[in-house]
Amino acid sequence: MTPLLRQFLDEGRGLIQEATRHLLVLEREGESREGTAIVFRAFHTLKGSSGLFEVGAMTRMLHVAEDLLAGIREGRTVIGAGLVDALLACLDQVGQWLDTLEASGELPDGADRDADSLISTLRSAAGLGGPAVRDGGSPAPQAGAADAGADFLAAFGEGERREALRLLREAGPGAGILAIRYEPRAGCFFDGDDPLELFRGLPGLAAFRIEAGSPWPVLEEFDPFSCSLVFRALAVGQEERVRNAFRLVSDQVRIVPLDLEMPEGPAVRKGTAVADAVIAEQVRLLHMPGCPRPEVAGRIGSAAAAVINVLLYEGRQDDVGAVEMAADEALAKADPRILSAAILRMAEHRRAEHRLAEGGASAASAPLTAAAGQDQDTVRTGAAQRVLRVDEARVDHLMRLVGEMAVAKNGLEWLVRSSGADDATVRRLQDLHGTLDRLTREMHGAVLRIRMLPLRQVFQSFPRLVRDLSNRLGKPVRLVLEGEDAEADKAIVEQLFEPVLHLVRNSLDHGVEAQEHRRTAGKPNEATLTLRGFQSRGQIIVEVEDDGRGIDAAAIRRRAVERGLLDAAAAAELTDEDAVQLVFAPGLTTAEAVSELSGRGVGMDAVRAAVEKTGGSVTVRSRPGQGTTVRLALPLTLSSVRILTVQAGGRRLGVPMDVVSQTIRLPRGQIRRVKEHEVFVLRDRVIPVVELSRLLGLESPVRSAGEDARLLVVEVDGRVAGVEVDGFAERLDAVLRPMDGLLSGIHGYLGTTLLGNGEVLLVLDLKEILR
Amino acid sequence: MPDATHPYRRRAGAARRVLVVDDGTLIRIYYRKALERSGFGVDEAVNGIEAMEKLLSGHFDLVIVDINMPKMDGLSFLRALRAQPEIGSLPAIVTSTESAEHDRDAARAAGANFYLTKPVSEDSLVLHAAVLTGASA
Repeated sequence: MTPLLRQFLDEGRGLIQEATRHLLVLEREGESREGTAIVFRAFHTLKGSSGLFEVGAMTRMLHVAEDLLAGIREGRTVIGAGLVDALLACLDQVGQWLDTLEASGELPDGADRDADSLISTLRSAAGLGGPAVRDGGSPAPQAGAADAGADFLAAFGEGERREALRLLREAGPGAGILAIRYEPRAGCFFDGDDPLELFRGLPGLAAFRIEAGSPWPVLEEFDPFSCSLVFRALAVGQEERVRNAFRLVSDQVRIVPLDLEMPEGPAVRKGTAVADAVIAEQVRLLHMPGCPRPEVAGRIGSAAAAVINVLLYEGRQDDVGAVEMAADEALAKADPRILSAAILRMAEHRRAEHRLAEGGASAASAPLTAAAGQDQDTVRTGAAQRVLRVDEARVDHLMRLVGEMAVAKNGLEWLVRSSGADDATVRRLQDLHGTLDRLTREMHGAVLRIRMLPLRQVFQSFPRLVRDLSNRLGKPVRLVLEGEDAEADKAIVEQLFEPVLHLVRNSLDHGVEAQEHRRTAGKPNEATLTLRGFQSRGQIIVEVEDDGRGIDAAAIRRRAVERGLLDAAAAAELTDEDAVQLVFAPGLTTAEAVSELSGRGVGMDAVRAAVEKTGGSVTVRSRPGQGTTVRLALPLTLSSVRILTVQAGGRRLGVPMDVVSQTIRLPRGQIRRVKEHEVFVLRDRVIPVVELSRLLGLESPVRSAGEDARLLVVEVDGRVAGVEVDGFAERLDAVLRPMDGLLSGIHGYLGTTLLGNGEVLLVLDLKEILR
Repeated sequence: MPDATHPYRRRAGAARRVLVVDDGTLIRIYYRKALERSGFGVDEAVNGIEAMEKLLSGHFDLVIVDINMPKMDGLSFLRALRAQPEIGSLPAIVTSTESAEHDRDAARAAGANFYLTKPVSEDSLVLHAAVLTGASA
């Protein structure tokens, strides 16, 4: 993906959010100058930026929407619910298109049809009616020159733009590229105007198109003597001369000088995306199995030719030699893989350089968007909060490095104490170790903070969702968002959306009463739903609170007994508060439970499962008749722990690497008995040996004398011990889930983690076990 | 050892020539206009057999071929092309109205260097042609 497209996608999604938010405000609080201006600007910028890509349908639709908004701004059109709906539908469509654009680089088939239907929806919502006008037949009167430029450019193909640039290079100083749009009056032929002749005589004509004007008449009414055409052209030359050529029809012509860089910039970067795709395709081609023998050479040769041509296109002659060499070898041995390996190496090199170049490119794209019609102040705010886009994998890598550094640092501490150096040296080394320790911890925190995102990322989707749900259910709802700025790790924030959505749906569907019930209960007609986020004791808390009917604890008890979750006596012993927690039990999530239990329970176990997967917990508080609050508490980070898996007593267990200073294999003869204890000597220190299986009360296997002992050298509270295990297995980075529920009473374990094969690995708390 | 029978290096300096192979007249005109506007030399063929004859009798830098054609379809043509010693290394773009992954795989298996789903916009066509022929930007 090109940086420009990346920027467009990000910016576009931001604008959609912004426009959505303000449209909802407009609908709720009525028309306001500022609100309309913001929405207008968002659509305007979206349209302007879209003109830089091949997304004609999107540009066309946004153009119509923008026109309508201009009308609202100038008081020509009145904004109503129907128009808000239509504009929101437009934004939805743009959002979907952006997704497709991201995935495939182009709009889906049928985009034009969708655009047309939305355009007519927009028009009828605004009370305009009439046929959809293609390509913005009536440009908004307030559209500025830059805006028109983007429109004009979209009308011409890549080849035509290149031709204009070529002519410009040949032309003398003072020349520029001018976009011309000439829509002659219907009766122009009788006025003696000859549009075609005008263009024919135009010096420096680079591109010329004739399009049908609008509306195109039906055939029976078609009058060949009436002109309904639009002429578009690109010309290179001095603006004065071009204007002069059209002086007699100046009222029907628009001439807009174009910025030279505008067409060239995107074209070049688009080329990069195509180049990427072509290179990737050659690798796929070379890896395609089952090539008939006679076609192998042709296939290798054509892939080599394609890749070499990409390199020439990009002006990377230096890389050609390596590809040629590989191609010759691949041809000689009839082995396509030799070439594909070389292409991959070259591509890696090329990508690295592009990344370097991108630093400059993304900085340069800001003026580009400005040229596409973005307001100056938007650009300024954009610059104020500078965001660096980093590949997640790189941050993860950094995280792993910090983890390994911590392990290495632990080794240093151990070495200091066993080194036998003099006291002064030991003290100095210990100081140094203390500093290293602090730095490592700070670094760990800093890396974690890179990954932090505000809850806004999740919350911002809800105003729209709640509006739609509330309309559908016929229950007026006021949504209150609190604490959108609270932050948590990206992975956590991203996993919050589904559970919160579930809870919001439940609240509106079943928690909030129908209007007549609210009235009889003496509650305000409009329900209040609150999404609240905050940090507390190393956790991120998200609460979904409604002022609905609450949960009937008695019904829950009854249902739980019926389901066999617990017996009647146990159910009776539960406090109401504990009883309502049963909504999260899997057995209660059946459809028939819905109506009886005020609807709560639908998928609540799914919410719990999702939250617990990340090491979080969920609780519910119900105030009968007054409302329900569901609280999700998740860790701030999915901090992973480096774990060594070991075998002991026939089981697989995890040991956190940070307490293990080394692992050794030792001939059994070197383990001696001193009184009751087994010991061994490591670097002149006598170290006790304990068997892990015995510590855990597991059966220890019979060990033969010839077999080496496998020991973890562990340091806890300054004491060193050798923990014997039956075998070492792999090391892994795992996210620990704390022991909770029934397991929370068991000591000696840090938590559990899920292995790739679905097996649950118990992770030992060696510190506690050895104490 | 370079394989003299499969020259994959292009001639330096010359204008890029593209052979458009499609049984649709309109498509051929559209491609020709678009490519010529951007400085490519263009020749046309209406089926695989005619395309092979043209390729064997003149120099080309790229062939753009449709899948569905009478006489010799695009994929059979590509296979036959790849087995030709002198011209087998010619880069080829396959175009088709199908966009499913197995259609792309089929084109790949026949030795296509790129696949474009119809309709192909002018910009896209010219850009791919430029990249695949190494036309300087």
